[in-house]
Amino acid sequence: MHACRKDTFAGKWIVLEGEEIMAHSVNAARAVEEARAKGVAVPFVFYVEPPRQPGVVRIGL
Amino acid sequence: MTTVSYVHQFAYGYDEDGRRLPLLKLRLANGTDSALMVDVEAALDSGAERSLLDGQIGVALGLDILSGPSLVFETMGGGILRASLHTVELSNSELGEFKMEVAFSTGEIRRNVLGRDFFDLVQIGFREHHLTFYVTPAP
Repeated sequence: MHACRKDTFAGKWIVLEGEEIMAHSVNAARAVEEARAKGVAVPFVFYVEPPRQPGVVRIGL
Repeated sequence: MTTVSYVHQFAYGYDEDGRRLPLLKLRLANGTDSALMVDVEAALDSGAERSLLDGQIGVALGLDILSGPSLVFETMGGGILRASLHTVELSNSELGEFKMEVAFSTGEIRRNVLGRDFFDLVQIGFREHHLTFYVTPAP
């Protein structure tokens, strides 16, 4: 995802159709519902993780 | 020494910071209503005993999340994540279909995880240096 969009949508679930953002919400179900209402048959939904601070690594959950 | 051959190979995906991690794209369905399918990505995590998906994805699949058997995930730091179990259909365009009991979180999580219950359905290998993982869709 482009950097400016990453900042805009950090902490949200977004539905992508190709390169187009069809829906976004802090709640995955709401993002999917909005995308379906726009005619997306099988929404691809993913969470935009907030940027990490330097020195932070992730481990599991 | 045992030699294992794999059928499919996948390049690692990217997180939002551009770091690479083993992600598998899945189509989820609840098995009764094909109109409620959702595509997601899940991180492959050999340290997770069970797979865990964000509960709101289950809601999007039409599941009554809290109606399933409950399960508690204990994280490495001692934290607790509560979840509820539901049987769903998972599919991948290369690997085919799997029916699996998946835990859906009752609170928000940041990353969907495929754990060792998924690994039990397939054969899987990682070449971290090559940022590639390999899967045969049979145990």
